[in-house]
Amino acid sequence: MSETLGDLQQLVMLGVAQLGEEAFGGGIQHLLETVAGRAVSVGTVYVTLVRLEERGLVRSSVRSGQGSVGRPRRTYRLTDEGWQALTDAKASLDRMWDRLDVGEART
Amino acid sequence: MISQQPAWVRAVLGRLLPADYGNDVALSLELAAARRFRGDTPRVRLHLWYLGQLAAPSMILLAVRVRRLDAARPVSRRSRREGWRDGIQGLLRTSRILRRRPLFAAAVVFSLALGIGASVAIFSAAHAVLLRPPPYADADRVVLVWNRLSGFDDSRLPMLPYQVRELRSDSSAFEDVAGIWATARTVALDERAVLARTGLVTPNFFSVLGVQPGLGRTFSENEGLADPTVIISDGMWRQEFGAADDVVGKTVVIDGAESVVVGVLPPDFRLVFPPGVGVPTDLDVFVPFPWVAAAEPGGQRFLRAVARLRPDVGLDVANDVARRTSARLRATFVEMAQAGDDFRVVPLQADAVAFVRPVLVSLLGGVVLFLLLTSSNVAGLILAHASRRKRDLVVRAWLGATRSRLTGEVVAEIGALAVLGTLMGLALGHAGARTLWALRPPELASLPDLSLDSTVLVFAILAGCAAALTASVAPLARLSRADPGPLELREASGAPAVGAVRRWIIVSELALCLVLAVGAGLTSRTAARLQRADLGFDSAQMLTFRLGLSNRLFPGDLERATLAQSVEDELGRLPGVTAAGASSHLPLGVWANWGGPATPPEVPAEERDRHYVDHRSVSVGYFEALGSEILEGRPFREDDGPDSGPVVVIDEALAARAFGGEPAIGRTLIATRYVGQDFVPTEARVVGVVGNVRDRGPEVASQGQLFWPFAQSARWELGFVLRTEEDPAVMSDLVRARVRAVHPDLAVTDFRSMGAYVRDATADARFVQSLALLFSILALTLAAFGVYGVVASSMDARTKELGLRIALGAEQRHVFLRVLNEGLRLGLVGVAVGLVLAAALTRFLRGILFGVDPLDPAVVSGVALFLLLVAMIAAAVPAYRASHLDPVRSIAS
Repeated sequence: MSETLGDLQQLVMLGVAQLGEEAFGGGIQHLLETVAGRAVSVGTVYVTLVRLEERGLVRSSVRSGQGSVGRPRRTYRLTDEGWQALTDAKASLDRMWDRLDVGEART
Repeated sequence: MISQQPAWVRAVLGRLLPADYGNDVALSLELAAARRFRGDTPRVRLHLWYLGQLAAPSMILLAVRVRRLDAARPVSRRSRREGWRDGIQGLLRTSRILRRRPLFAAAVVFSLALGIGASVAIFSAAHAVLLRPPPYADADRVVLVWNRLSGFDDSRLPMLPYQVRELRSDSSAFEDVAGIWATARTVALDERAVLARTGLVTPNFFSVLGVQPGLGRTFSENEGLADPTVIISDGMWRQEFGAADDVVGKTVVIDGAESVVVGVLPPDFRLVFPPGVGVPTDLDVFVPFPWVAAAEPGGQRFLRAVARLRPDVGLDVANDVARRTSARLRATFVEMAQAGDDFRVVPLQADAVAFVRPVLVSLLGGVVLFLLLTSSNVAGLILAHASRRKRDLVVRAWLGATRSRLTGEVVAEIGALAVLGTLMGLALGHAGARTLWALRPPELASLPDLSLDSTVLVFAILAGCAAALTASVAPLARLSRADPGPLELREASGAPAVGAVRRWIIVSELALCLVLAVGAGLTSRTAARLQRADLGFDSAQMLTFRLGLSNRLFPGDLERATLAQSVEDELGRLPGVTAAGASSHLPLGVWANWGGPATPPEVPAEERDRHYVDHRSVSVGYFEALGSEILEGRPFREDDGPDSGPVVVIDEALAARAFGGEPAIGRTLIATRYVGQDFVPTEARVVGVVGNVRDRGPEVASQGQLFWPFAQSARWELGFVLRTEEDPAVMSDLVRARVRAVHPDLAVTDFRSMGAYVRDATADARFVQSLALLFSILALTLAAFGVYGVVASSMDARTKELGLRIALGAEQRHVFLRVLNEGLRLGLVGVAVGLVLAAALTRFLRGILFGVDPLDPAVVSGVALFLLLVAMIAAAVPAYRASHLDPVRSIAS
């Protein structure tokens, strides 16, 4: 997986990771809006999810409906490659941050 | 309070996305809306927001990408239970579809079954003949060594015993070399004598073949020197000795000499020699030919040589040795130099089936054409079916069925039909192969019973797969282009005219069918020509049998001649017999030929060996009984006896060869005469010329025949011909009794009508003809159905257009002619392509044709016209239906 992760992709994946079993588009969008402060449309979230799935970073499965939501739903989880890509992205960011002397930068 | 999501959102999403994505997106939108809007927000703003979300470029992008992702998602990602459920649903859907279209399903299964069945049947027969080894140990190392003589067409000639011995002495290539000569011996059994088919074999014959005896032993190296011994066949052992276990050591009287039975051959033993070399497949008894009798380089060439190669020696090395040996012999012996003896080595199995190979290769070519025809037929049917289902498929694609799923369905349908078709084809093939086997020529009678073995099975399954695969390519290719979109839906409702693929299917079917039908026409003509061929005699109402005149029981020439004359006189007096005669060699008989040089005295001695002709010794009544035409001079008379001057009758071919068109009567020939138990060159006066007789089969012209009067050249056996008024079959017992009345030691055998010999001689041609006819009838049936199916389905697709034309005032006649015209045009193209193919391919049939040109105009034009007619009829039925459409109903459909 030579292609690096985009900013939005990282955020969506982090959302998937946080939501666990219940990760679906609506929940992710909610997190992005409320936690990350990013306003993105539902369509954009899903397109991102589809792209990530194409790259094998997330995997979706269809669950039959339960409770009040009596319709099948597609839920997402990170694949091993997905976790790897996410931690790689974080590590490269961290390395860059580590080399930055915060005090120096401010002067 | 959460505001209500407008109903149209779900409806639009349902259209745009597969169900699961649609739900999730709807739910997500609802959640986002709940965060954004309070319950009192005006509905208009809500509608506008939703509209903006759905119309966003990201949503359109999603719709496209989800579809692509779904198509790429491998089945294995789904849970196993889902997979099973899908599979069962698929099967149910398949069976539903097939049940809804039973005609389509039946047509596909029938086509496949026919194609595979015919292929399996032919392949089984071909396999049984071409690939099965003879029943010898390490049969691939057993070879035949044939002799060639200069000035003699036949390349499968026998050798001098001395030559076999010489070949054997060089052990660099051959483990051992043996020889056989098939003749007849009189075997006395319990007061009756039988004329036994006898193999005179060198003592090592059975070890060269690698045959172990069923009982007792085979011959040892010095066999034939001391007391006479004999090995009998399994059939003889069962028939004449009641399968007694103690037969070994018993004594039988062969030609008056007491011989000890030393062994019985195994039941599956058979001789595997090419037809026409004078070694039948089954012999009753085998007597040893001692090696000491091969010590002298002279005599007659009569031993057919068979050898076993050393394990590490190839055919080319063996041929080198054979050539070297014959060259050495030619350098040593003047007589062999003059005759031009030249040995060559051929594999036994390949040589034995060589005569039938062109036939089988032609048939295999037919199989390939036929399978192609089957494939295009099935492809046409499936294409027609697919176009009817196209609307269904496109709508389902819109409703979210993935392409992989639809592809899976199409494959499942075709697969189910292919499996059914293959199974039925195997059953058909099994039955067909048995029928073919029953029709095989008698030369192949010795082959073991045919069975469908694993190779044939694999072939059938491969054939089925190939046909199904070819058949599914077209609809799958269509499906892959059927990206669900507005355009496709439009196209699905009103289809174009006969499409390019269909046109090609019709054209290829007709072309392939034409080639097969031309092949069948040519072989039929050949068979007809052979059966009507003028043999030079009339074979109707003629009984034949063979009479043994053992030269040990009756050593004197005069004795044998007198006995033969008495038998002929006795039989001639039988009620119902109009003429009786005998010849040392019956026309179309399977026994060894008698050949020798026959030249005018002015031909120098060293050139005489180049003028080999058939020799026969015949009775006084022979020419009349056979119905030969006397062209010049006279037939033999009673006074052409041992004491009068030697005389011969020759056939037209020899007269032309020896005297070049000058009158032959009164001229002199030096020919070989059997007298005093030896073959002696004798000067004889020509007293008559008879018409040529096709002695070796209807397709083989005489190369010259010379007849001695039996009284002057009394050989040790005779084939009798009796011209009868009644059915020849009922007379054999009477004849047997009369012969015994002449002398109790006279043995008779092989009662057959001459018609049976003629049938045997034309069996090959009739075998090929029946196969070719079968092929072309099947091909015609398939092609007719195929053309009909394709034209009908394209008419179906054009129903709306045609209905519109009729509604707009087009005359029925016009519509009919238009559709018919289309069928006819395709027919013409198909026939034209077929003619080109036939011109290229029928050349390969030349080897199996007789008196028919590979592009016989009558056959080719007949077949072409017939196929055009078939194409027209196949197109006329849907054309008629199209012209009688109810315009209202067809447009509304």
